[in-house]
Amino acid sequence: MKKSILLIVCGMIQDEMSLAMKNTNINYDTIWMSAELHNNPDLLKLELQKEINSHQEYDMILLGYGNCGKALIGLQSDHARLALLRSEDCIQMLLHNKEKLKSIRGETYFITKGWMMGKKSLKEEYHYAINKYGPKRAEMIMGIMFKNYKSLMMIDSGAYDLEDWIHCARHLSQVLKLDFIITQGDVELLEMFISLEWDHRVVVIEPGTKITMDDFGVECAVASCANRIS
Amino acid sequence: MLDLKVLTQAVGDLEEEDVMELLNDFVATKPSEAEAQEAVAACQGGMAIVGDLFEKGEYFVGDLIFAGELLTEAINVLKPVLGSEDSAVAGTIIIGTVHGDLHDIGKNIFKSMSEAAGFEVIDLGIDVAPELFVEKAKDCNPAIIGMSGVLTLAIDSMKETVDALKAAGIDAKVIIGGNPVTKESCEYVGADQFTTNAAEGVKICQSWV
Repeated sequence: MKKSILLIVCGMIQDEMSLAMKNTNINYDTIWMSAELHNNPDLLKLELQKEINSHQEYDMILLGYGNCGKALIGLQSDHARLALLRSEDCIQMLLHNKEKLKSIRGETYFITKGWMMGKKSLKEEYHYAINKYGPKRAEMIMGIMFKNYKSLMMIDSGAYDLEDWIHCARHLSQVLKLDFIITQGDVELLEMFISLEWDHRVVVIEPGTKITMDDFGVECAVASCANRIS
Repeated sequence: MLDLKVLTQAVGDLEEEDVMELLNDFVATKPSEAEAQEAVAACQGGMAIVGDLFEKGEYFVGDLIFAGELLTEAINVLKPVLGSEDSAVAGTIIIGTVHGDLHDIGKNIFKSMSEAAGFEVIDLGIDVAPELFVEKAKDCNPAIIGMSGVLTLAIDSMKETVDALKAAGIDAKVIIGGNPVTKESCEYVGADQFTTNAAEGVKICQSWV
């Protein structure tokens, strides 16, 4: 017998998706993918395709990813339908209401609890450099890494206790010589996605059809345009 | 006599002291230019190890940055025995981080490595508009144009740039590099090749000239 819906989500937004599930009182079978995979789009694509292939008993698979590193392009499902958010990445998912998001992206390093917890997170990167190269070299390395950044922006979407992580984030901003900013995010887009009350920001991919750039195109283009003129 | 394999491994292991000691001893023996080029190639082999270890998740971004610094340091030690400035260049490459993106770690590592391989590299910096790529390509007539980026939006900027280059009749080979670059995005962009590994990128460029 066919089951209905499977949710495959990036571990990076586990807190935020969990909050969206709690707020909507929706619980699908869920696979949390390793957050580390977002560093390697080719591997992410490979792993997502494996999960899709091995869960064809579902009617529909919701992919809790944006167009992260273009990793979803080319994925396809033989029997289950796929659905995804027309979002550039998880930053846009959480800050979809933020004006001028596009214009601040290049010079802003975004963090949440999820981004600080990963094995290759900024926090780990910094500690690794200190331990391996010593404080002076680590400062030089981090200086090169962040020379074009201006701000460290912590996204507060209510999905985790800010107080538990704010010290860590502020400390990172100080050692990296970046302005520290807390900005309000939300999980409304995720709630809309899992509630199946979709608008133009969700696209459904029919079985046997590959995900293409055009599937992300409309909303990403709209968002870019809105950010440019705002 | 310089053991090239030991040098390659020392670079791969990011053992700065060992690398410098090996190279300083080597330079003191007054090697020929050809032997010095072999040492450069060995260092590049070490960078390929660094790239592989990063892809396997063993190295951090900080290691890539340190590797870039180490390579620059190594090439500086070798410069006196690498021949005169006016020796033939392998070819000219214009590189830049595309419009909307400010990330340049990978680009800078690629720059160090391609210069060490004998290319003349014109670095346009970060957030480079398609028009600037076109203008510089018209001025310098490069064999290769390299575009770099980390943000997902960089792919669209790369496509814009390739379209602008084609519209201007620039016939240089185009290679794109950076984290969001895949086979599919390469096809979308219309580039000739793609890579997420600077050492591999240099090899591709060498195969073109």
